[in-house]
Amino acid sequence: MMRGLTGKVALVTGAGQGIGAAIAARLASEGCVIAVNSLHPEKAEATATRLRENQVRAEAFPADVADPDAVDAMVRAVEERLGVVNILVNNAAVLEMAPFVDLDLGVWDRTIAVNLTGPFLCTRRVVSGMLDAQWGRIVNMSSIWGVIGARGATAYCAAKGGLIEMTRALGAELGPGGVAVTAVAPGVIDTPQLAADAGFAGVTLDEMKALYAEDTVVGRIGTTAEIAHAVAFLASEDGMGLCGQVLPVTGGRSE
Amino acid sequence: MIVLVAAAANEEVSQLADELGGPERVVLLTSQPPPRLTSGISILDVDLMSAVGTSEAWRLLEETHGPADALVVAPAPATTTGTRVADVSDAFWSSAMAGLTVAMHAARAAVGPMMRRGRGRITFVTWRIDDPEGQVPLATVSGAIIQLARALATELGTSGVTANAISVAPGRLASVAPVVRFLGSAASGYLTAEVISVGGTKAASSWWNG
Repeated sequence: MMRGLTGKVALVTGAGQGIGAAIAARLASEGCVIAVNSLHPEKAEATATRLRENQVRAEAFPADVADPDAVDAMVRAVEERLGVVNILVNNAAVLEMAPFVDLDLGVWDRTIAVNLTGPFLCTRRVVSGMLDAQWGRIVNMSSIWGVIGARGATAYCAAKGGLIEMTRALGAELGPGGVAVTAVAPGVIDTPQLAADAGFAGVTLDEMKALYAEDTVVGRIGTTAEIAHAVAFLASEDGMGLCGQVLPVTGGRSE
Repeated sequence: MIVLVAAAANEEVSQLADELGGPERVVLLTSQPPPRLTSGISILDVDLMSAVGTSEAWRLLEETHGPADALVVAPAPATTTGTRVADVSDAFWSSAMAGLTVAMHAARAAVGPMMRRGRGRITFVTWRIDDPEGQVPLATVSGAIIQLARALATELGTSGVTANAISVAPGRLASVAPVVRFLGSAASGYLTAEVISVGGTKAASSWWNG
């Protein structure tokens, strides 16, 4: 068990599937009350229902994190129904693979809006409650691609790189007030995204997984549970020790 | 069981051993036992500058205490005053480099048994040099140990053994304990070849916010 998570209210964005759903489940197993966000109401509800089946207090709060009014309404609803947000996990993200020369401005704008402005909007909305309580945890889900870049993912890489610097700057600003801001930079993780990557690369899903595994030191792709484990640590009492830091969980491929 | 290796076990090392102890058994391998003995911490006095001696001590401690789950290498005590490179004596340089030698000997003793078991966690703790002026020996050793961790991790590969480095400011050694425990957990197997800085960032100590 991680220290200091029991009873904390955790808002996890993009928790309808993949890494976000795993983070919600892990924080729930550590005793957190879970606010499940997704752009898609049915996905948010599905995750919340699964958590409730395990006797976890969890509710769905569907919203587009790129929309300031929607974020405001979402956090107000969380506060009314579950309490002040103690832990925010900025996980919601979009990724559309395309060569740069074909990169549509709309795709660029939407990627930056969801992956970078979204974390800003959610953080801005919850941070005063955390500072009032002199305790808060903000975990930003960046990506190894925000550190080393990737072919066909310019907008995504720019947003994830921006999120890393946002983490460092905010960590310096909010840490003294008891709010630890950190980031996780996952490597290749076994999620539905891999099918899209395979399509872009023109290979089968199994070939894609094998190619990615070759790039790691440990010779395999990671699991959503391994990422959720790192998030739980950063969200815990001990997360303050890493305030402003980026934790790469990549199987050994960040350089 | 965690094996904590420290060339000179000063008060900071004792504090780290205390923090790591409790649910985990801690064995301290050292060339210079600590001034304060902590209950529950076993101490093995060994010449860490000897590769053979370190490996033999490792074999003995596993015979006595069982298999080691984790190796944690503490940095040599940091000097607080800076020394300009022109004034660094041979003796000072050699004593700084001894930290690298100890780290290498400890890793070499640990990897064989850990790889045979298919599990293990190796963590090198280094000093974070926020102000490198006058700190050439310390910065050099810290950098070398970080690259030792990265290169070792690539060799350990698919073996189930990970290697990472943690950097921390002098005087704060015990604060790495939660990160050592996190890295030691079973679900941290996908985190290897990394450097984790504990207790502050460059931005956090930038000039404008004091």
